[in-house]
Amino acid sequence: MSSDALSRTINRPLILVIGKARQLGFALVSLMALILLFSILNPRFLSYINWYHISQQGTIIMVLALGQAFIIATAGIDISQGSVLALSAMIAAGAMVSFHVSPVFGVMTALLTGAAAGAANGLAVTRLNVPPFIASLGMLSAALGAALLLTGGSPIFGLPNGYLTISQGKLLGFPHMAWIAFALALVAAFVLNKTRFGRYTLAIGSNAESARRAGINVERHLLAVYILGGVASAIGGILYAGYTAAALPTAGQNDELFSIAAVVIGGGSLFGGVGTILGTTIGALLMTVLANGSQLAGISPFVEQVVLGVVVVAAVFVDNLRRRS
Amino acid sequence: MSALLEVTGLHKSFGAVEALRGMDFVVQPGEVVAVVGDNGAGKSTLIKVISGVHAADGGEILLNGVPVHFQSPRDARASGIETIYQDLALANHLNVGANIFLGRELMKRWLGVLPIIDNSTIYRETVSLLNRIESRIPDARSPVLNLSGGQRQAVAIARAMYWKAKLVIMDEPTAALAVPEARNVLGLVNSLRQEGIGVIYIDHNLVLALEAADRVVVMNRGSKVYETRAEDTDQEELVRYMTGTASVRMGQKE
Repeated sequence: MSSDALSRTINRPLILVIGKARQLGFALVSLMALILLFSILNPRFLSYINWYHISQQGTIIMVLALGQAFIIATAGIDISQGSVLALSAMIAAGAMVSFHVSPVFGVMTALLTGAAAGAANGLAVTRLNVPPFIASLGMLSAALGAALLLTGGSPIFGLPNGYLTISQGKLLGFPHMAWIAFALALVAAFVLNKTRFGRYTLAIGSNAESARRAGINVERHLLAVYILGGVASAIGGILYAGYTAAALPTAGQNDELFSIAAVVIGGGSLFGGVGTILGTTIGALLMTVLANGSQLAGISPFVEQVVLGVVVVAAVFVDNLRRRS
Repeated sequence: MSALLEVTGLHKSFGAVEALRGMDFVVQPGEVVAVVGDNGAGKSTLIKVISGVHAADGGEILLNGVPVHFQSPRDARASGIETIYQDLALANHLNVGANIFLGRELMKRWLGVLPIIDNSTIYRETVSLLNRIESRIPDARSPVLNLSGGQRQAVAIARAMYWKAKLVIMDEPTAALAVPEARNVLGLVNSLRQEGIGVIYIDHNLVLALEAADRVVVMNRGSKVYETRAEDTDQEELVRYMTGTASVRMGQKE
């Protein structure tokens, strides 16, 4: 190789970094534009108390989006997140309120519930060859039904105080739950970018056949990713119940749309092989600001639903354009 | 010294279809053997049996004189047989180094504890590997997505070389390539030869097959019908054996 080619070899990564930054930049600029817009529409939008709320609301979407980011990176999808969130919260709340188990145990039951739901999704995808969309659509219905069955549709109140601190306690001016999400994001970024687990996740999403030929146990890995996704939904449920001081069987509805949008806006691709945790974080923040800001601006929550639907489709459309070019 | 690969009396049927009926052939270290034949002659089945995708119904495969029985492509790989598929099977979104090391990542410890992928060593190894072959890949950190067909071919070959393959099976390596790039593949085949790696080369393009190979094996209906040194034959003769119009079954030349 000539020295000229060698210097190109060394300098090119910079260009790649800039390319990636452009993707993130788009999300970041959109976020800034939304913040600007909403602060003009309602000055209270910029208040500390509102950002405290945003950090609470955003946390749930953020945690779900982390799980979704891994699943989407494998070219899969999990649309059962909202239901699994609700079911995990209901089971944990039921255990704590009816059987008086400790909050630690309550959290464990929620995590196990999420893991089981994720495993069911993963097994349907890997063993039964059901497309991820349909597998998780089934889970969406099944988990919601199970959550409603538990109490005949009533919410569960009276969660122990120790449990509520998980979400409501404060550290450095922000709620515990926001710090938990932040820590989880750091872990997720580490796993996705630095470990074999993350590398295989991207490789499978990019070309499952090549991963298989490279000796990766694709089915086992996918199962693990779906289980992790279920655990992320359960963490969402744990935080949600702590935040609202109750478990609702209908909690988390539509949350999967927020998380999918967050991942795609952040640069993830539904075709798999791509994923960034920083992008996902920005995407989750953007979706939260959109929901919170339109509320403060007095926009009807029904309109917000419509906007959410449009944003999801538009984000995927932009992703398509990006992949084609 | 025994041959690198020796295949004797290989049989494989799929239901009523006999894809291989008594196939014999030999590959020496550093030798490029082109296997040619019409569609359905059994070339694909042959390489799938050798690479562990299918188990043979009968016959023997000797690797360096030792009989081998592969249960899966993984077994074949572990014994030093790498297959470079027509579709190349690269993970497009991963970079060149990540593809070469996929499934066998070099690791280091983060803070002395957590095992993480050693990307900087992978990068260095990749650059030196790409320099050894004429890869024409400007940047080892670029995702494979951005590479041309020929450059992708080079990635697959670099992977085989790094992992000390003894035998590389190339299935239609030029099928999807533009003409100038197809010629570069010959250079890559040559680098394998120079490393003492045996190559089974399959190509519909007989001109390229003849140019790449030291020896040519013609298959028809599941067995070898002709074998010759590449310099002693031409397209016309090969086509006659491929289509069965030269039906005399020749003895093996050495």
